[in-house]
Amino acid sequence: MNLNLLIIIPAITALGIVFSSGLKQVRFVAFAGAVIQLVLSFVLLFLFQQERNAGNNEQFIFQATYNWFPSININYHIGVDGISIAMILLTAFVVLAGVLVSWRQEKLSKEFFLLLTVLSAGAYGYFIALDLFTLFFFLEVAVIPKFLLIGIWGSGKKEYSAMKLALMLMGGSALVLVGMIGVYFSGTNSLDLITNAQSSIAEETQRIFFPFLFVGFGIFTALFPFHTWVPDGHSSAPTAASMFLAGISMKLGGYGCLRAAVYLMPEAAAYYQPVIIILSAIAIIYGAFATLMQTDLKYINAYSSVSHCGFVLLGIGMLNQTAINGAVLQMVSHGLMTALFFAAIGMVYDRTHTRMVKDIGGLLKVMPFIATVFILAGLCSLGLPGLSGFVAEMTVFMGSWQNPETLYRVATILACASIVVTAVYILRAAGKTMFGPIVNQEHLSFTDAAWNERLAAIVLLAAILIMGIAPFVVTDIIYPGTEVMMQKIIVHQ
Amino acid sequence: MFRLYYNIFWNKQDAHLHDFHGEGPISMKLPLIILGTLSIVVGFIPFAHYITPTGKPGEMHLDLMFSIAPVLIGVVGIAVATMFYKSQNEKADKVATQLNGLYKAAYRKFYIDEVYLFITKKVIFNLIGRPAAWFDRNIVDGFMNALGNTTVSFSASLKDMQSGKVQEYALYFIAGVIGLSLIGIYLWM
Repeated sequence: MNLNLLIIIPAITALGIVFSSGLKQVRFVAFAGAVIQLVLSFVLLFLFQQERNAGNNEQFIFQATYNWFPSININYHIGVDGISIAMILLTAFVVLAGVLVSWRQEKLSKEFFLLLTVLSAGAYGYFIALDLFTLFFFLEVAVIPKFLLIGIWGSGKKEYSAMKLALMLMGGSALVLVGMIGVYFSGTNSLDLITNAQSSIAEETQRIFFPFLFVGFGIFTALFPFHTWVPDGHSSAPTAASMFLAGISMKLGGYGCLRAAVYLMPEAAAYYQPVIIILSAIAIIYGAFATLMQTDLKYINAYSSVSHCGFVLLGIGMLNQTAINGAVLQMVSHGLMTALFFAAIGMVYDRTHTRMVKDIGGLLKVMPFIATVFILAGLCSLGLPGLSGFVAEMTVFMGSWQNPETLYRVATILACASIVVTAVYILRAAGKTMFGPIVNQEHLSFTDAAWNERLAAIVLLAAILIMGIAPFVVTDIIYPGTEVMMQKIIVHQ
Repeated sequence: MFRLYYNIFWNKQDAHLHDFHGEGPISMKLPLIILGTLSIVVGFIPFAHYITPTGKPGEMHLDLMFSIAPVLIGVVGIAVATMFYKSQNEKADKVATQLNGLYKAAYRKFYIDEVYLFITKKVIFNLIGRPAAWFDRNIVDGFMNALGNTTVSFSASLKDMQSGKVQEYALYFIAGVIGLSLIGIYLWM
């Protein structure tokens, strides 16, 4: 399969949006593009499994290389393994749901859907990149639209949030760039992931440049203390942008930490392991406690994302296969769950025009579908068995516990304990907003979810339930990918 | 259980007796009959080999002390409930007055809920959650904002250097020449 299709389809969609006029045409083109992307992702999955079943044991399948800057040996090199495919599927689900949720986007609809599509192209390109420059290029493609989406269509202190997000993520990118230069001059004179993985980078070089790559990507996934763009960015962004930000963009960081930092520099990862674990544990427990005091639904989900993304970094930092599997599962699960949660919050906000917990109550009676979606997203967040959150978090815990040192055991216990705090803030928010008496009598006149909102929620819920009930569907895809990476990580540890 | 049994079925006149429409249809009775019957005979169902890891019937040594004591305690409980609640009397109230502290503690479920609420609301919310949220907004985020503001003020101060005034540029030029000369002299010396 030609992986370029994953970029070409969003590019054609973007072009179609440019030449469309009026909201109806624009959203139809965006919707059609998102549906094709989802179908294409499933076709990719099918062909990938077919290749594997036919005995193709290459680490990356469907590879293609094109010279980009021959003078400095930079190539446009793409290919996929199980981890990439899981992330591509996540992107496709969130993009479709995001387009559906924005169905009634009246203000500058063409520009809005165009930016969403560009963002999705950036994410697809990022997940198929096998060259650090290609990876970096698409990372930047995915950052710029966020700034505009928040700055133009956001709410509250949107300019401040957009600027903060862009500056912090650009700061992260700058660190990644320094790390890339370190990789390039480590001996291979190449930014190719496979070439660099095959030739070991000297341990001294790794120790210098690993922090740049890990922290740089870590900023994208809310690494403590560089997470402060998350609450402001998420809360100011329009619903679909929040879904993309938390559902896809934050996963770019976790994926980069694993694919570039840990995979290329395993000795340095082992050297810095205690620092990674401590920072992850702080993010998990501190993020959870900070969420307790939030009164705005979007801030609750944003801080909750800081805590949940801590699980991703904890899993990666544990440097064993079970934990890394858990980290990838958590990226997928959190992507779906948080997108669903933001969608539900957006639906509530569109009707009530408030996100403050104290101003909302008893919505289950008025809008049962939206309330049920909200509650299910919350239950997934707190790790209820049967939903994807449980599978992912449990795998991270199981993997983390395999590390017998006291520090890692304490970090694991703290991470497990954070679930209780999660349960408190989720059930409290759900209880106050969805159950009990109706706070504002005007809310009695509100309608439940429209067809597009229902479809968006069902798409995400279906993925959450499949992953929760039959986790092997996802783990069978991911496992071979992490296995190959672990072979290198273990040998070099 | 026997307190409930006596209070509901024995001595008091039901305030809602006029609403009483019999024991209900067979659809309500039948589940009760099935459950009641099963609860009596469940011990005789031979499923012992299903609950052992080996698949063989489980064997258990019967210790009389451990068998008689719970039965005796149960019988004493039933006897006490019979004494207090079978007929309307003030015995239970008198005992409650005499053992006021124990009665209150038991009535309040030994304050377990209050302890939970205290831990969550006073300790976790006020002593951990609130400081964590404050720390994040003011210290961590404050540091990031301070970093941004410092850059802005530094840039603002640099901005004045490009004033368009030739005299100022000449001053910077001469200062640069003097500075470089001093460095040159220092290195030469």
